[in-house]
Amino acid sequence: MATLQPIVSSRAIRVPRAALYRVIAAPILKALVVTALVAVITFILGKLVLGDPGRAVLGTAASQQSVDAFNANLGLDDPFPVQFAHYFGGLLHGDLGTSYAYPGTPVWSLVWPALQVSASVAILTVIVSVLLSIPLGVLAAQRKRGVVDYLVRGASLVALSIPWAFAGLVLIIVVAVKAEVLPAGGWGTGPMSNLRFLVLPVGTLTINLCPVFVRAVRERAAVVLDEPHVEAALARGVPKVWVVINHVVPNCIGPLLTLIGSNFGALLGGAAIVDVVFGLPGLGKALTSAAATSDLPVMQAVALLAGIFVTLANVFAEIAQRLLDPRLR
Amino acid sequence: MKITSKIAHRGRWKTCAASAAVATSMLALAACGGTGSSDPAAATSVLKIVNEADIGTFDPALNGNTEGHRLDYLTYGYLTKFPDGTPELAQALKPTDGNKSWTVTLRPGLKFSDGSPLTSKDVVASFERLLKPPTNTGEVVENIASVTAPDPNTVLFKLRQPDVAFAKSLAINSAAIFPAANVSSGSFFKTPPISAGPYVIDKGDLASGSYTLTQNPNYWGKAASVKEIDFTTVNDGGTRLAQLESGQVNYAKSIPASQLKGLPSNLHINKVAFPGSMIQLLLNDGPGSSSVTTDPKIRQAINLAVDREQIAKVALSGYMAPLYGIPWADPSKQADAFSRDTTKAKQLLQGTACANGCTIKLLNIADFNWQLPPVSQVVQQNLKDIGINVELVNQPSATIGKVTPSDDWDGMVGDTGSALMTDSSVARLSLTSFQWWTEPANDLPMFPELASLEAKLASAPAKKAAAVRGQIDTEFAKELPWIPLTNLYFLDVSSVPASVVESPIGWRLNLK
Repeated sequence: MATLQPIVSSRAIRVPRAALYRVIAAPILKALVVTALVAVITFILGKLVLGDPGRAVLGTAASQQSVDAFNANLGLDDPFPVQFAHYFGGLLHGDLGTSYAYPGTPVWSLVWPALQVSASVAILTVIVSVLLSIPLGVLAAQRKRGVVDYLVRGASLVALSIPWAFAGLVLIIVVAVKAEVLPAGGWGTGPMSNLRFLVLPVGTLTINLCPVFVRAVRERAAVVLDEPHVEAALARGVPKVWVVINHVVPNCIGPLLTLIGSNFGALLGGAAIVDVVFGLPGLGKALTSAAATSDLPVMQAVALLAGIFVTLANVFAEIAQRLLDPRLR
Repeated sequence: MKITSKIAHRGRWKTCAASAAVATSMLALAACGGTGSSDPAAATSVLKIVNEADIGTFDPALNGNTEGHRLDYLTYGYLTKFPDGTPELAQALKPTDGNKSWTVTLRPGLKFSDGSPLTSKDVVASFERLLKPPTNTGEVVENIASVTAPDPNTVLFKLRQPDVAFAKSLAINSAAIFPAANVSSGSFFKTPPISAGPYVIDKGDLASGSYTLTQNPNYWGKAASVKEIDFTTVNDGGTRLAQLESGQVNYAKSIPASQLKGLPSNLHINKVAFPGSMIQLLLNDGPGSSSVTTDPKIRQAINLAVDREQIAKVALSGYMAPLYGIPWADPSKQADAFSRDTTKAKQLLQGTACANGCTIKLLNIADFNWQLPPVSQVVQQNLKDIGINVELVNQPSATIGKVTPSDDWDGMVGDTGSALMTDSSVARLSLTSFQWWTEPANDLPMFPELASLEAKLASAPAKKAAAVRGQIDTEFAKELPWIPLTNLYFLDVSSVPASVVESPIGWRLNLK
């Protein structure tokens, strides 16, 4: 009889308090360790590949004396351990340092606006992808091996094969240059105007992310639709829409959460590409600009924040999954 | 069954209708927002420029990129005009003591953009700030021994070495004039600073690369027809061009030549010339190098093997011209010494390490300027004709300084832009261009004769300068510290007529 019960239902989730601590604390502890490692690795890698900030910022005409003075002002002539200690001391106080390329400007003030842009792109992409993938995936599962199923799967395969940058350029040419209905790139001056600039970048990322979700939803929905409790519900005359909403969709959330967590890194990578293609002032642009000017503190901050972002996404996905599925606790 | 089928059909129709309605509404909504005006009148009064890179700082002494320099010349006041050195804030410039002292008289009644008076005290404070490194000014300002203000309208510059072209030197982008009371304050450049240029920065966000300029009501000169300039930044050249084509902006900075094919008729190219700039083949012939390119015969052979015509026409789509020597403002006619002659090149290789063929490693800098990778490829093809196999090794520009002090490279295609436009500065920068790419190495110790001639040119009076230039040309063709390939242009694209914006010269936008 147990098999007749849905794994996840839309009823309220009740978790014992001790289990709740276990469910939440373990992933957070792991996240802290990962974040510390990310910070160490980004610092070391940054030092290994760093060019000459003084020359990059001051340009070709500056004398070597000026370049040396610029670098000395930033403490770049200090021994490696001193720089390392200085960086980590700052991090512990929430100080990401001062930009090399924007003299006197705290890194946080440069990275925070960029993080907001990238987070907007990433979160909107996830929302749009989820909203599209659930109906498409369920529809394909319901019409398994039918025309709709083949169409959805075929379109997903094609969309998955399109590189982000290429998809972005095609959208720019078709939507912005030919149809002139949306801006080709850039950024607006307020939340409402920014929304127009987000449509194409989010569309570009959705082209790649949505198919991943669609396939997962289809697979899960197909399994659930064959479950005895679903068949029993249908046999009792419960409307199909009701069955899908109450039994199929909730069961697809688990795999979707896993995918959201595991794809967040790739999504941020994609966001970096769309930043360049669409000229969005996000983390990708901050990173490429920082790399061009050897602005190590900004590079480190972007890498660190991206690492934290991905880690947090995974933590939330893990916690949500454990809360939703008692077998994972 | 019929009823079911009808309902199903109606449901599908409703779905389709709803989808179409949503799509139409979205398109209409988006269209209502518009993407920019293609009205020429609007384009005349508001210039919307999309830049390639961000500006790091409002401080002209610290910003090193073209975008920053363009902003400087639009918003800050200068004693003389870039690039010709004609008076701007200065009314007159008078050299004395064999060009070692320069007296600058300011225009009467000058004001900063906030309406406060601009006097010689402000000029002195602005230059004194530049004398303390770090700055991007290089030798131009380092030649200033002292700057004083004998009276509120006069400034006296004392130089370490005579400089016949000091009026031009004063036009360097960092030599902007700011209020004495604020210029040394650490926070002055955190926000758009007060100065005396044709525009003021009305609002700006350096991190996102967006800022708006409006006309300076207290500008001493004639106001341009462009009332407002809006800057944004998009790194990708294709997107910048798409923004221009869709009317979102009306001026796009630096588009790669490969993207300019089939340019719509309403757009035109503004070739941006940088005085004294060039694309060159830098060779690892500095102090301590054991590269084969330290052999002058091999350098001469390479010089005769490169096909400058092919590089200009094929690699650079005909937008740049072959360069046959040092890029003087008035180029010398040295084509004979630099024309392609593979037979002579092979003869030169006899008895060298490359007599029976050799392999050299060329660093390919793909992330710096679009001009460099295609030129590297043509050089690779050209040198194969004389038995020199070129191995192209990709190298990020940010870390080039880590590779070049070693012997693990033989050459690289690079470009050098001049900060100024005097013959002596072109010579100096040309001969020390190696330093920018390979610091702290410097070519000149390897070529003492060239170094001495370069110093001679800096102090040569106008009548003798041409002769010294000729001597430098001769010595340069013999030594070839690097191989000149073509001059250097960047290609801005615009929908604004030339009556509003002419082709910029270097960092200065020519607004009418």
